[in-house]
Amino acid sequence: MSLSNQFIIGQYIDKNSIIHRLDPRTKLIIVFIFMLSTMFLTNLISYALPVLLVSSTIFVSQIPSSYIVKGLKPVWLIVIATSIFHIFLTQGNHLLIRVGSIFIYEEGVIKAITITLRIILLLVTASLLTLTTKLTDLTNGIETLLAPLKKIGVPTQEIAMMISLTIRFIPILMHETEKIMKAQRARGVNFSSGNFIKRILNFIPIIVPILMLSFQKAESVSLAVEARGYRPGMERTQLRILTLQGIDYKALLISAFCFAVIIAFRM
Amino acid sequence: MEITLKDVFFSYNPGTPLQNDVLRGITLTLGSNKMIAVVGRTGSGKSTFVQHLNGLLQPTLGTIHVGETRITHDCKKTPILHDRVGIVFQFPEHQLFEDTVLKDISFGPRNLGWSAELIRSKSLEAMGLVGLEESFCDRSPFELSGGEKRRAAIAGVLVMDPTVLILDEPTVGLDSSGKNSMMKLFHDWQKEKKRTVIMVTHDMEILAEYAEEIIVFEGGKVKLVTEPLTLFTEYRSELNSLGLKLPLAHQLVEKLNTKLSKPIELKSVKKGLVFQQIADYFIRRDLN
Repeated sequence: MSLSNQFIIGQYIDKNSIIHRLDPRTKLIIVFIFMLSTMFLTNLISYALPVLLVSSTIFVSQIPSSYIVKGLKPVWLIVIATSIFHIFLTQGNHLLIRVGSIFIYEEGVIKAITITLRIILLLVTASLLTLTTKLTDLTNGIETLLAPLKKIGVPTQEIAMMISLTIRFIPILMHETEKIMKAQRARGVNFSSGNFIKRILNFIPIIVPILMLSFQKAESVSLAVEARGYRPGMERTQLRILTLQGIDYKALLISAFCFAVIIAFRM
Repeated sequence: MEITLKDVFFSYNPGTPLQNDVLRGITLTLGSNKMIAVVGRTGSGKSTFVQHLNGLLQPTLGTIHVGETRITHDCKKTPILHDRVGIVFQFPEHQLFEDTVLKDISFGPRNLGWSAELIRSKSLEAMGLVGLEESFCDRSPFELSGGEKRRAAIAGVLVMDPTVLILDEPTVGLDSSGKNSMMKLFHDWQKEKKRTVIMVTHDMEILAEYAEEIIVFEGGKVKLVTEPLTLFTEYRSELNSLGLKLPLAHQLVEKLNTKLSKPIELKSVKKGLVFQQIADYFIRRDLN
């Protein structure tokens, strides 16, 4: 299984859905509000609304849900590990099962479920953002959203540039990693066997070349942008000016409403 | 060692919106002890194909036999072939990571668990094969020149003494003299040790000079299996549509033939021999 097959964050799938056509700023704000509101979720029932919201967004975005489920594969391990910790280590009042000196409380099980839901929700929303937004739009969006901070001396353009370069380089470095992994596998490294320390040591033949390559690439990118007239701190203009449409206001209203409901629920 | 493929299919990201069918039913037998070139347009599946030959990729459908080893889509464990099938990727210098050249070259044999003495003698031998002097042993691979880095990386593959050597665009990024010496190295190694070399290339000059058999890929399928002279003569009209072109010497002959009353019939694809033939033609004509 290839790496790029497993991580869906950072990939873009071209479809012509409402979600794709939303202004990137709208999507960024909604994702931010949404992630913030998941922090306010307390009991199991309160998760119903966000889960409904995310699943309907997936449906509307025309991105196959099987694809998103597949994209969650690499995090299953983390999800299971945290669930186990919560199940066995949470103390509560309602004892469910007792095996020897191990106590399992109802609170622990509920906590494990909610944490799992929270991780999945956060991951899916982040993936949905990049799956439905072109990178250039995303950068533009970040830049315009951060623009007010410029007045207090925050280098917003540089930050937006850095973010977009970082996201841009994820697939490139992933591709290179894959290639180097193959080259080293062909030289007899087995990444999936041996004890824990051996397995970690096995990654040195990958990490060193990738570091070297990233430095090289960073250097050539900085030369390339400078050659094309990029100067840090200089005013830049854009080819596409972002404008909010009616649909953006509707989407923002809906998400504000949902946020209010979640907050109200907590009160 | 013979390699046979039967109905091999391969897709990247199967079952996702990004599904990309790369190989679409390949049935092929690769003989041993020769230089085989794999050509075709970008995206025709060449690189994916060669990565199947040592188990780096597993087919989505179909079977591959590499000698006695069988590779199928449902192999639980990837069969270990790296000691028999070596692969040199594009820009192999990117895989260097140790602090000395010698250590980097001996990385493969160390993984195979060879004895320290054998590793040292084989590594030195591999350095000799690629034309690196013994003084390079203790130097850091990162301070070498581009060409030297590439040689060191190739030594790291040749050191395992593979029966089949796969080269994915081995000469990319080299100047013309670098290309020739690199190819001569592989050619001499292949002839001397009677090994099989399978190379993916876009370079028609290299193809004409070194290949003994040519496999042409198109849209994930094998379009042709032929030899260089046949490819450049019989299939001349199809070359462009396959994303290939004539080597320079052949272009020259073609241009000459439009002006000559009696055309030159090519008997070889190697540049030196083609030029010889042209010279002979004019000498003979002057004598008459």
